[in-house]
Amino acid sequence: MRNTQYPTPNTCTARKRMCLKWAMVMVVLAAIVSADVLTAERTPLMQDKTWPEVQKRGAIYVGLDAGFLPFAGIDAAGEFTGIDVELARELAQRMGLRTEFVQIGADRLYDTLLAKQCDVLISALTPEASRLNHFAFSAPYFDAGLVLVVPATTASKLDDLKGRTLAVEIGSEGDARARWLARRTVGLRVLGRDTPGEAMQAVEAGLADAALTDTATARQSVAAHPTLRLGPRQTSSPYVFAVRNDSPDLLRALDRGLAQVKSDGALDSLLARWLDK
Amino acid sequence: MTRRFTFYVSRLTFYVSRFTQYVLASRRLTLRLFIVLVFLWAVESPPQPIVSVPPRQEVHTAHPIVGVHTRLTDEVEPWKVRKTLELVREMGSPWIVEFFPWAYSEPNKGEFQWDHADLIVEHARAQGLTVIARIGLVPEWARPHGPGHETTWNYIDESGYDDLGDFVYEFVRHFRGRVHAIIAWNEPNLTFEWGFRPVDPQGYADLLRAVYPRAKQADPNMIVLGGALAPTLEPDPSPNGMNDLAFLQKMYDAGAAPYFDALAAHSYGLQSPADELPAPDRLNFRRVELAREVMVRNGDAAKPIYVTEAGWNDSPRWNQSVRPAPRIDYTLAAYQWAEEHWPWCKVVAMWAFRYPAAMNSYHDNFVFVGVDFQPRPIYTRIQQWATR
Repeated sequence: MRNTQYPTPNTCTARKRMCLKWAMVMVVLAAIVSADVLTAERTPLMQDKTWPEVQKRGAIYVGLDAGFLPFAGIDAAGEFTGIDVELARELAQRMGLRTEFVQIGADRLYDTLLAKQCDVLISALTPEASRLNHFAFSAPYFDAGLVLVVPATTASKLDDLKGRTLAVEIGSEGDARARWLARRTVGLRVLGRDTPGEAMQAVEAGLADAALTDTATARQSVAAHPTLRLGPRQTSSPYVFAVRNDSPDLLRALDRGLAQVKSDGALDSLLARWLDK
Repeated sequence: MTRRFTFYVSRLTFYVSRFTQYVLASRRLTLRLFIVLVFLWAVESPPQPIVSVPPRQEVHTAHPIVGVHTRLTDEVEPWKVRKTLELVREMGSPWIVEFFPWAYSEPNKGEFQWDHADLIVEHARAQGLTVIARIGLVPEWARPHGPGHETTWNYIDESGYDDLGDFVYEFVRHFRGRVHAIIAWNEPNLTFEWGFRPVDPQGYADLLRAVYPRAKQADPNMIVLGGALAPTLEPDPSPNGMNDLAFLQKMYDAGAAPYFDALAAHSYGLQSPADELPAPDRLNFRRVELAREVMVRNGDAAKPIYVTEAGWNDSPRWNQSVRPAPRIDYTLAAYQWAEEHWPWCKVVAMWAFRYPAAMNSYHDNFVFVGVDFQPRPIYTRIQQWATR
């Protein structure tokens, strides 16, 4: 025989009260949530106006700071030249577009893009989280981070910098990083030189175990000094394109083009042309 | 006595335990809600870390002309303010120039908030530093605003001069004896700094005329610096601004002379060494000597010059920069040049000591100390020279 207990009338009332309380709490919560949802700012589906306009005019306006070779500069004939310039032309050609460059000072690049004076910035830019409310960034096309340059004869990978001497250009990013490392690495010494070239010479002369510099300088130095080679990378600093947030289709097209030039080797050969000779 | 104390403690324990029991036993929603609110309030408002103003220090320097322009305006953490000013002292710089925005300190007319400004000034004084206060940045209530009347933070017209004068009066009164000098406005010869209106030497002279007596009324010993002109070779006319030397002469023509005690000057070296000869068509560190000539021609030879911005940049991304090594040499040479050749110069304040956050542009390469407080080699070299 089952020993079933039936609720007494008092227990019933208590339960009803409890249910009522919970119901009230749920109603209040629902009201809060619905008010939040109803008053929230609606974000319309993004419709890209830039990409159709670029296709219509048949030209893409590329903003760059032509004062930063080997990425962008102006040659003796007054023409834009450099890695960014050639990469922009290559991508535009693959998209069936002409390229028109807009020269902008480094500190005005983003303002000019925001003011719609150009469609995209291709100017050795690193992505910045603080700019994501207005801009979007492409996949990286180059890593300009710091890298060690070591004697070509050195077998060591220099994974352990204990007791080593690093040559750096005084005041450069490599200098700051080396001094940061020196505080954390037993016996690491920093040898300051006035120019990156002098830092490389210090390595060649055996005064330092390695030089620490950005990747572009490192590759150019190795090309100019056959007795040196690239060592392990120390930091990463990717270069990307920047577009306005309202240009998602343009960004997709650029990313597609970038993926193509990466996969077919066009980007590597372009970089090698500027950095490894 | 002990028995009475024990009695009170036991009574207190009793009441606390009764109250706790009552709270736990209570089914009243309001009481529970109250407890939750108290808990949330306690969680939401953690006590702020206390950064005390340390005992007063002295700056040990062999070169009292050394100064820096700090950027503590937007530095919100007190320990970073303190750390920055400690490093300034340790570098051997007895001077700082700092920006005190009007808009921050008087958000509504007659409502003054000095908390952050006090923090900076008190820590600077504790480190033995002399403060020059640059005043600017117009609050919204003191300029036209709203649809169709948008203006920038730098916009001021004649209708705002008296409000600025009132603010300067309050500022000087508040910091009487704690701030050495004020700079009324910044680079009025640039359109950008003049609220995107055509630059106007007469208008700036009128601004000084409104501000100067108010500062003196609050503290007759306060030094009012005028000018702070941007070195520029803008042609006449130009939508961007006016040549600094031409602007200075026009200030005198507009009758500004009685309304500033000394000239604030900006003197950037760009790509030239510190000792390069000045010329009217060239921007370099010694251009300030040409400003001095304008002052002398206008009978103001007795007034000193405070160089409140100067320096070199070592960004690889700016076409007006130099490599880091020459930047160090030029900066050191600039201090030495001013010390040896400019008896009328009180201070050379280099731009900028440290930024509170990275600007992610070439501006980051003006600094002496990184955002993370890591001194750059220029800091170490100036320190070695100034404190030996």
